[in-house]
Amino acid sequence: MSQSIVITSGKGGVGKTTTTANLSTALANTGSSVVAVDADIGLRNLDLLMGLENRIVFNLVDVVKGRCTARQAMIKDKRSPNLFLLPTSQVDDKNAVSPEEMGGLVEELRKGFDYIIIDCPAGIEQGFRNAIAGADRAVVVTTPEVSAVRDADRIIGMLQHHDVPSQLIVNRLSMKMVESGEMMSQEDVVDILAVDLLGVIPEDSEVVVSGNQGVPVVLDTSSEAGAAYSRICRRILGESVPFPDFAEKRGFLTRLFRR
Amino acid sequence: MNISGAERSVEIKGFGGALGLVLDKAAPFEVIESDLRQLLQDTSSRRFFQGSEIVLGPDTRTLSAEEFSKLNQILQEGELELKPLETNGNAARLRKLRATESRGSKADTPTPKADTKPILEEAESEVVPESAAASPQLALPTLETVVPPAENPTPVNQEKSELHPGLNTDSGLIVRQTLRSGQTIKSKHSVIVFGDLNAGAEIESEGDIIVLGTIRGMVHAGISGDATVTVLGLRMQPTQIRIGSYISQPPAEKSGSIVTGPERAFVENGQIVIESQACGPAELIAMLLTFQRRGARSKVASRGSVPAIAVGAIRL
Repeated sequence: MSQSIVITSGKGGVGKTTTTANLSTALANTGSSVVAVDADIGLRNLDLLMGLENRIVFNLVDVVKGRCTARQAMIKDKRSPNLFLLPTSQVDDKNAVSPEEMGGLVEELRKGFDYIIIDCPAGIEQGFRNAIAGADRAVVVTTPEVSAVRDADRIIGMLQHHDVPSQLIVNRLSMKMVESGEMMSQEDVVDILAVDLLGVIPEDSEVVVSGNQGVPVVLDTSSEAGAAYSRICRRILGESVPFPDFAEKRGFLTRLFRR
Repeated sequence: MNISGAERSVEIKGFGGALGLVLDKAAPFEVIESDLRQLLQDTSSRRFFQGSEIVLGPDTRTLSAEEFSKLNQILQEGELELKPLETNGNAARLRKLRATESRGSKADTPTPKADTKPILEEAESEVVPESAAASPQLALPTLETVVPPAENPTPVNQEKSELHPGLNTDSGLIVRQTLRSGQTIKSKHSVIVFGDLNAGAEIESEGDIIVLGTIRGMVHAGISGDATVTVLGLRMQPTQIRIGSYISQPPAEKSGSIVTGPERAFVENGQIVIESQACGPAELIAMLLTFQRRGARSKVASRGSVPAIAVGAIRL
């Protein structure tokens, strides 16, 4: 039973591609076969975060247009033998592919993979419609900012319209700012969006470092964000994993004196 | 019900009480235009349809806003009016209609493609109350659903009918979902939402608006100019409230800092006033009841109501 999951957000820069790279890696490390599909045609990024940019020969548009097979275009990950990347084209734009064609591609990929993780572009236009065309469900990524939450709300509404159930990831949560009342808490975000919370990723500078190196942060077990992605992966696999209180990490005394 | 009899790219069908326009998906728009003109020229069918409202039927062709207004113009020449908003993109309802359609006439209706988004793509109002799906006319009983059977709504209805001659006053629109950013509801009837109205979402109603959840978006009650209507929300944090031709913004202070309970907005002395409603379930039902009754406003806020806060109101 293969599953296709689209990672989407509406707003740009909230961590869709990072989430795609990390969840794909984490899922592959559990033994599932995974393909990460970069649907952000024209703004190719996912290959960078996975450290695979110099291996690209064919891309998603080539596959859809029949210029090559999906097997030929897919790149095997450096580290995990179960993980493949289907990179996108850097020279075409979103209109190069139709939702029907994307739906067909996902159907084809289902035959060979347990999980198809689709990295959706920002926006609500054709690129979005393409990315969700073959998705069984959606993971909506937002940051605790009013603009990101507003866009996520719009996206969730559109996903409902297309009958795609959605779950939420709150990315870049800074517990310090939440405590000082400068940032929305995860509860505030869930209260507004009223969807299931799949996970919370704390603000962590390791994400930027690992992204630049092309090594998903989830492989770094000591980083907070990496651990959070591992937990989300287990939740996707159906495990019930408790949500840790990020404030606990501050230590008992610090918390005591802060009050 | 195929009026034309011959193979045409345009058909007018009945959909559970409403007249629906079904357009051939394959035909070019020019053909549709001329076929529609022809259809309306047919004197017998013209007389039949005259004065009716017509909606875009399910499983129909996607129209651009421009094409839509062209068709509407042709229909108006035939004294018909195309009503887009009440069916527009209403996925759930259309799917249901489509399902019943194809079940009813499997032989001649090809199974619609899963991802067809039939109606006007420009304005997205994809929200449809489930209850509307059952009866596509949108004339739904509201009071009946919230009022205990012991209550007799008859005098209430009479009172309202006088205020709104010609409007089907004992009907309303029930929306059983949260309205999200970008989703809009426009109704000739009062609107009740079981869920939140999120920021960026809008409700426009010719009657009252009741949101059994948090109002964070924009509400406009009495869009046709009736300022006697009211807006109720269990939590009011709206971006804007409009009633009739009045418009108001909530005070500049951080939202949620003053009142967290139910509040009601109405127009008094040329201003939109927001009044806190202390209420338990019983009062809530009473409040819903009085929504049909303009004169009963004062009775609603009988117990524990705080003094009304006047919000700066600007006349449009």
